[in-house]
Order: sequence, then C-alpha cells, then structure tokens
Amino acid sequence: MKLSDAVTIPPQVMARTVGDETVILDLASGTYFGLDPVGARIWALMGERKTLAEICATMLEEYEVEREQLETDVLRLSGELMERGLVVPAQ
Amino acid sequence: MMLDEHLGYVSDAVRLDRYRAAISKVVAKGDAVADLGSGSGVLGLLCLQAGAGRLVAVDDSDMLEVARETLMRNGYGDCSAFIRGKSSQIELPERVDVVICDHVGYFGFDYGVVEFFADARKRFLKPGGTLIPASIRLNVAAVGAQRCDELANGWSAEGIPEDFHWLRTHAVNTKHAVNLERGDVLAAPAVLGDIDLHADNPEFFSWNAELRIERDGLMHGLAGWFECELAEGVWMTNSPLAEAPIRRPQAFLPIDEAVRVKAGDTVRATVMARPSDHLIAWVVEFPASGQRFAHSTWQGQLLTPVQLMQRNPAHVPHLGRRGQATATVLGYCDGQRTVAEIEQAVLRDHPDLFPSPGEISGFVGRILGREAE
Repeated sequence: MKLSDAVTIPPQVMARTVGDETVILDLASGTYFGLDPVGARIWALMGERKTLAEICATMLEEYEVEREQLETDVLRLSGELMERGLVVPAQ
Repeated sequence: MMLDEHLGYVSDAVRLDRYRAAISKVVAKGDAVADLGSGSGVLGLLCLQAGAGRLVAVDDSDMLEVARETLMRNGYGDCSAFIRGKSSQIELPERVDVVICDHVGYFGFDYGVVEFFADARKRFLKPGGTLIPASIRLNVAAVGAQRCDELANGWSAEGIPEDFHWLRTHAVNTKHAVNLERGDVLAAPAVLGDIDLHADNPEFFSWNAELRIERDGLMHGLAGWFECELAEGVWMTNSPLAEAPIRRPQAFLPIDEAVRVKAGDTVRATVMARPSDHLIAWVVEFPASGQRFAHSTWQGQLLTPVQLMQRNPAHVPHLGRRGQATATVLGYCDGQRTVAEIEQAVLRDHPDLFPSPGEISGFVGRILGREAE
C-alpha cells in the first residue's frame, strides 16, 4: 500500500468500542480483531475515507510522534487489515 | 415463565394444524423421529400419534421432563427416549427417518434451526431422511407504527430520566419481537431469500431487497418474518398479512431516525446474518434523500470493556473470581465425595470463597447441579 491510497470498510465489517477497548468484527468470517487506542483512531479515520497520508497528517496534530514512525505504523496496520479483508481499496 | 411460553406454543391451533398436516405427509408407520429443541414434546407426540415407531426428544431445559411425563401419560413411554442437552453436543442412539424442529424464531433463521439442521443432516438423519421444516422463505417489509417507535425510542421517550437516554443506541441496534398489524406495513414485503435446510448452507448470509413504498407514512425500520415449508405444499407463516398466521411475533429491525416516505418511493434493504453467533446487521438506504442507516446486534450488545476484550483473539484470559470458585468446587468432584462432603470440604478449605457460608453452600449446589451427573 502507498500513502496516497485510501481504504473503505466493507458493510459486513464493524467495530465496537467500550472504554479503551476496540474490537473489529468481520461478520462474514465470524472473526474478531483487536485494536489499541491509536489503532482505533486510525480505524475511525479510515471510515472517513481519508487517504493514508491524510490520516497521518491528522494524527500528527493529535499525537506526539515522529512522522516516519507514524507512516510506518499506519502502513503496517492498513496492510494487516487489508490482508484480513477488514478494509478494501477505495474505489 | 417457561410453562407460560410453551402454553403459547401448544395452544396455537394454527401451528398445530400445520405441523399435523406436514407430519401426516412425511412420517410413515414405524419411522424413527428426532424432535430437536422439543420443549413440551408436542411435535414428537404428533409424530407418534401419526404412526412413528420411535421418538428421541432432545432439549436443554427443564421442559424435557414435561415432554417425558406427557409422553409417558399418553402411553408412549416405551418407544420414547429423552436426551438433555444441545443437539450439537449429544449423540443419538440411532439415525432417524425424520428430524423435526420448530426453532425458526421470528425471522426464520434467528433461533437455531439452520445450525441445528446442518448438524442433524450429517449425524442424525438416515440417507434419504426428511427434515421438518424443509425450507424457509424470509420476507422483509418497511414498517411504521407507534409500537415500533416505542421499541426504537422508548429509552429516550418523554418521562424517561435523561440519564438513561444513552440506552437508545442499544435499542436501535437490537432485533425486537413485535406483533405487527396489516396497517403497520408500508410496502408489500419482498422475499429476502430462501434457505433450503436439506442443502449445505453458509455460516454467513447476506441478502438484499428493494422495497416499493405503497402509502405515505413514517418508516421506523424493517420487519422480517418467515414462511416455512414444513412439508411439500404445507406452509406455516407468522406474516402479519396472512389470512391464517401462527401466533408468533415478527422481527423488527429499527433505523436510527424515522423517515417520512411517500407512495412510490424505493427503499433498499440489506440484511446480513451469522445465525450461529446470533448476529444480525442491517443497512437501510433511501435513494430519494440519500439517507443511509447501518445497524447491527453487535452494536446493541451490552458489553463491559472486559467482555469486549475477551473477543480479541490476542487477549490472554485469566480465571475471574467466579471461574476460580467454579474450578474449586469441581476440583472436589472426584467421583468419591458426596454432595455433602464436597460442600463441607469447600466450606472448610475455602471459607472466603463468598461472604457467607450460606452463599458458599448455595453456589456449590448450583455448580454441581449444572456441571455434575
């Protein structure tokens, strides 16, 4: 994936947050996937159809983190979510 | 309470008539029959009265004893067997000619019949055997009614303290039981899909339907109901539009905001389900206004952070206080000690298990009653 890519969340995939815990459910496979609070924020921004670069830009304003590290983390998480079918490339 | 529920099933003359008609078509003299989730045993009784030679009733509740007593009193004790448990966790003494099960719920797929039959076909049914019902047709309709509004918005209604209004989020993400009337239906129902219970079915279903609004009104959500083909040409339905429905509620799936619709409008409905996990998701789209609502029973579940964390496959679970107490009690259940000796041992060795000796004794009794034989 590239930072210029955007992803969308398929209708059968849904997240639930209670307190600091966020868990994604893929209704089609019946599998769950846990996110930490930072991952949950990335997930929420993915739901707004932002590109990964836009997600990084937003998060740089919200978190004290190096851009390079953040971009690596966003690319890694989006790749893992894509591999699991929890997000798909935006059309 | 349990008897009240089953009184409703047994006193439903249309339901019994439909099952009697199906059984007379399917059950041959001497057949072996399994009644899964047998409840009071009424369907098994109908099978025996129709000539079945042997019956196995399977149920995971105290109603199994009602079935046992009823069949014995009717002279069928010698040809009947009773197994307590979930059908997916038990073995039958023999394969059977017919498997019957009424667990179709309100929508058709939401009370276990799909997964019960998927297992029963493989392990219980003889080659060429028959399932009752054979198939389920799912219907969906747009509905608007005061009773639907109350189910969706009751927690934020006038008179409810504002402190509780947050629960509305759960209410609009819940599959409700509702007793609809013909006038509550805003559009002719669409067939969402058919489930052939004799076939291999997926664990995940996704159905789409386009609904054409027939009269102006305020739409509160979708309603779902079933038409079951119990046997060839014998149908049973809980449709509010039917001439002779059985006495059973329909499923109501709310939308977050009531939408005013006009005759001729189109509404797109998507219903996704994972019956074995009791999960349903629904999306309702209004092309005319661009409005879109997405809901799921996953969002509606009342979960603590710990319960949510337990869904995370990466979570490492630890026994909680109740789990530790259960393990302690079962640890004394060694096939040698009596109930009294186990209770004494727990009270002696773990006096702090619960705040009072009475609670410890009660807990021991409940755990042994549930987990031991």
